[in-house]
Amino acid sequence: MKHSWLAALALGPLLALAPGCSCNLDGSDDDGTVRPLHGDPGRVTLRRLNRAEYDNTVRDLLGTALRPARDFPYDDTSFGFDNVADTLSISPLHVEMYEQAAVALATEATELPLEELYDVVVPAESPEVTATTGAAYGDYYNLWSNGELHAPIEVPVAGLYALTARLYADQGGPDLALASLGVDGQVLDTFDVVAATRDTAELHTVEVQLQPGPHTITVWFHNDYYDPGNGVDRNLKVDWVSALGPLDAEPGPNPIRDRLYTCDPQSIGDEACAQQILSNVATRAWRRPLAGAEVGGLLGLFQAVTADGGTFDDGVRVALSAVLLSPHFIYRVEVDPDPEGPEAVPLGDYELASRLSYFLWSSMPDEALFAAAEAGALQDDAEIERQVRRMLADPKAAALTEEFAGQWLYIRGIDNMVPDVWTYPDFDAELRASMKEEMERFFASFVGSDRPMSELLTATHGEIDARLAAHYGVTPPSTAWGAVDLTPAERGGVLGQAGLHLVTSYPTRTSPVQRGKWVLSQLLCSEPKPPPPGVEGLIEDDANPQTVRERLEQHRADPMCASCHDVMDPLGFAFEHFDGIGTWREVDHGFPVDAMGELPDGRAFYGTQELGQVLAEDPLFSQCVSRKLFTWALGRAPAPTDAPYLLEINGRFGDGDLRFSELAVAIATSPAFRMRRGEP
Amino acid sequence: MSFKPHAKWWTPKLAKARGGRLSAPSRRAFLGGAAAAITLPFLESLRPWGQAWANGHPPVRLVYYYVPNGIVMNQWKPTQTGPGYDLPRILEPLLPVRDHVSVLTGLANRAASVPVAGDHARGTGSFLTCATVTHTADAAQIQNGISVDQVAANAIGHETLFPSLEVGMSGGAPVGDCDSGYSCAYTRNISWAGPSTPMAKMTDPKLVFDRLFAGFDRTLSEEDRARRERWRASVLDTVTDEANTLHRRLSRSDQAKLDEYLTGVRELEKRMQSGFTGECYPSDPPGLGLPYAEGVRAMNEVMVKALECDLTRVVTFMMENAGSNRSFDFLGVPGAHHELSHHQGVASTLESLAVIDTWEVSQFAWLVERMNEVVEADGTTLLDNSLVLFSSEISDGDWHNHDDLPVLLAGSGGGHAVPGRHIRYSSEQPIANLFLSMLQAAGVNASSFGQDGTAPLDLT
Repeated sequence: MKHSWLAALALGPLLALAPGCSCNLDGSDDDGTVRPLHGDPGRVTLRRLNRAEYDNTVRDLLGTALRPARDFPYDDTSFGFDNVADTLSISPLHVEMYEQAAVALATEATELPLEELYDVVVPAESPEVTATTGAAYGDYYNLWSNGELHAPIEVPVAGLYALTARLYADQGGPDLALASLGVDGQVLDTFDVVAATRDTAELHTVEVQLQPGPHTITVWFHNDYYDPGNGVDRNLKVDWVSALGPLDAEPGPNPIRDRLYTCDPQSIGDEACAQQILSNVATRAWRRPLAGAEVGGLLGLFQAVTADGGTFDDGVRVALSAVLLSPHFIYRVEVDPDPEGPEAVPLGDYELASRLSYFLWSSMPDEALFAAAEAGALQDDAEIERQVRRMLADPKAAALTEEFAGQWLYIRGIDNMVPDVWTYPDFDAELRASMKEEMERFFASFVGSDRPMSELLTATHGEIDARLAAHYGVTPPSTAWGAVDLTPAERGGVLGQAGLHLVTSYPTRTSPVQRGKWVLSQLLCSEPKPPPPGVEGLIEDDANPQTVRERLEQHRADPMCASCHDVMDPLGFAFEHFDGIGTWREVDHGFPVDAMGELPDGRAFYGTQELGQVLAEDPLFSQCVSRKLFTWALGRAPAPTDAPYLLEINGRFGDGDLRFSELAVAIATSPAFRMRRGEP
Repeated sequence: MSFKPHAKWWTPKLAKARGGRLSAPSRRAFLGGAAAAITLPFLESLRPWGQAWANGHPPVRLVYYYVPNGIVMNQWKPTQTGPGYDLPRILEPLLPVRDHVSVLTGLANRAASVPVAGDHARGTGSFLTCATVTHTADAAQIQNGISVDQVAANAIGHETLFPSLEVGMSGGAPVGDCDSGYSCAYTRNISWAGPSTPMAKMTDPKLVFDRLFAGFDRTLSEEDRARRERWRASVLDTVTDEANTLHRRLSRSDQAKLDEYLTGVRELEKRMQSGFTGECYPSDPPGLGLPYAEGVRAMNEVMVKALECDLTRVVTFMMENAGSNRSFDFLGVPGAHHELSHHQGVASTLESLAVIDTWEVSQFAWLVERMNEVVEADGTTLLDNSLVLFSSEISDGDWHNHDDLPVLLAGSGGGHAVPGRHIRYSSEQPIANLFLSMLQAAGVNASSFGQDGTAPLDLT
């Protein structure tokens, strides 16, 4: 094994698994008992889809552009990731939103959409309304003698419109109030108004063909009656008028429905067709074939709806909403043959297909994976490897960048940073977006082109755009995004990327502590302990300006702080030439920057280029990458019993060329990924 | 009064043209928002259950208003006690509502006083539980107490459509741990249904509005609506059957996860069976994607409407999450909130903090004013029948202390409190005792709360 300078400080990340873990590299316990390899694959608790998985799954299931989970509550994170089964819980609010989403998705999938309707309500008292008599009151218009009330509308397209007036009257005399409703001076309906109070006011509607453009809705009052001697007064009162249409618009196309409706009820019968549609969609939504009773349950819903006056579409819509609200959709269900048995058993074919697809795509399996599961092929290492390589080449593998690397490298944090506008006037939304895209493109290049992951730390070239080129002081690429030699700017690898500098800074200054902590926890899996009380914050002394480095060095004079900061801070100092938004600087608070760092074993480095070389050569780095992706793939924290699996996985990855695909294959073929056990 | 009861006027053709749209049309929304302040009388018809109030009195409502990072206390504390207290700089926005707001000084949340770092997370986790949270970043190891709003919701929540409402302005930090090894669950949630069950909050006022008010499709006839409810009930029955069948095949911890789902489905069924028809439908849904300050205002307005329509009687609001580093550049303040709160006694930093604190109090004052405008059936105001608490997870940003907390209490709680005073408590008076008083005012039978709430404060 290569030399690890951190070995003296902490257990290596493979083994620093849990408090009190005392497993050794060969998989033996301290008492020398060697665990049988593949003895205990562990178990993953029933896991619900997280927000990204939900949205990706409905995208791939239905082809919808809706992203309902964006409105769901945030997922909590554990061990650095938001897909950890034990942590993903369901509150009543979740179920409520699952139902709303299921109804919205099922409606979209079954409806024949009409043109956007023109839909306007004009209160009679509003200023654009005119009349030949009477007056506007707080919330109605009083036509107190015979006359007309005019409300302007402007319809966008030709078609049949419903015009409505809400009316009541002060009744008096021998007759009811007599009114008419019409448009552009033409009476379309004449009627008695019976209602006498606003609460009971009545609605009168006419339907009329209108051309596009402005029109006037008119209400007439015909039979005013006034008998002051007896205090009798008949007035017509208008609450509001409205227009809605066109009612005769032709339905537009719905490709989601076209894909869903694989049969024609006219030709094979309603129930046979409904059964086919529901069975197909549920098999994909639940990511496994359905039992006969399960199909029967969904068909029963369809039948109940159509027996209750619903149409064929109503029936399919309601049953589809049940498919999407079902626990078999919301959760990734893996069933133990013996829920209390300690024996490790292989996952079912379909369960394994889902593990693969949610690992690499954060989404459901595609047709090819389903086919492999159906053929029973996924129990074979070579087939798993073939599938993994195929899936990594698929555009859906972008989920590894957005979800896995987004959290591992803190790329997601870029969106939430608020650099101080006075300290960093150059920062804007465009620079933020470019920073994020640079990091995403960089990570994606390891998934896509399979370059060694040591280059995450040592790459000489990076893909940037013109904005970043200006920010970095290098020649811009000839295309919008292009590879540029960054070594003159001393920015090789992720350690030189402005997005990383941003997410590890405070709004007004850099934080060598956060940067050192990021290196330790994200690249070396050696998270420092949280600080003792009363040490948060650095003293800003305006009268005696100091560099951040000087202030931190004072702080480390305290032995209580030194124990952790002696490790963290020197790593962070290597970044000191990059300010809080990653701009190169030679001075900090008027003093020259010193980016010299030193390791506990005495090796020194200057700047992030040299730090990157040191880290890339350290076996802790590859072990840590293995551990991060293992956590992500399984949705659980590594346990002491995982040590033999992690050693095996890292053997293939870390002792090789550090290729991402090798790591993904090693994890996907590991018994920890392919097997599970009950809970004794 | 701009409410228009909707009559049955949708012809089948119209209903079809409306095409099963989910959201109800808002009459005023089409007009570009004639923002008439609605003052809704407490009509019996608005009640979900169609029952009369006990004794004909409106019920007591409880609101908890959280702001992060403490307060500059020497610009907060009045020097005079009793009514007509003086208003130091940060409390100046209370001027128009001073008679309705009490300042309570000297209260402490001792459960949060533990000598390790992470006071923001711990103080926020304990904010309404008055229990010491476990120090873990692993969500599976979380332990807290039940929060005061959830104690109230358990006791009186069944009388409203929503037992409680949890809202705030920020979802959460997307990466990293949240505060010195404390789980993000502590920094993002003040409402806790149980020791390991934070109540997820909603952070977009438009979505909260839709959840409260837009679930009722007014484009349907009564008959169509009833039919849809029957279908919806069948769906819930079907998924419940599926979950129960699955439950029998799972191990213990898997069953525990599935129980969360079943609980949620049962809540939906209960709400559906309540017979609520959504007559209390306000105008002017908030816009989507509002800037922060407008979002706060919109969220507070939605809170008022939820209380006004008696959709819930218990509301928690988080202005931001614990230790928030939000930038307040719209107030002309440089820097970020948490960073600033470590003020080190520097005058310019304290000035920036005081500007932020004053703005926070002005938002609270606006909420109090709005609640005071809403007139209930018996002529009292919503504020008269509410107790609205304002506080933070710590007192001073440098010290991170959990005693001498900044506390405001607005409203009369249906006669259980006399507001408009500065009350100075002796040092270390547990804030849990104030929570106990608030519970009792709402008719909750409680004799203790949290770790140290045993003697309710006399607020009259």
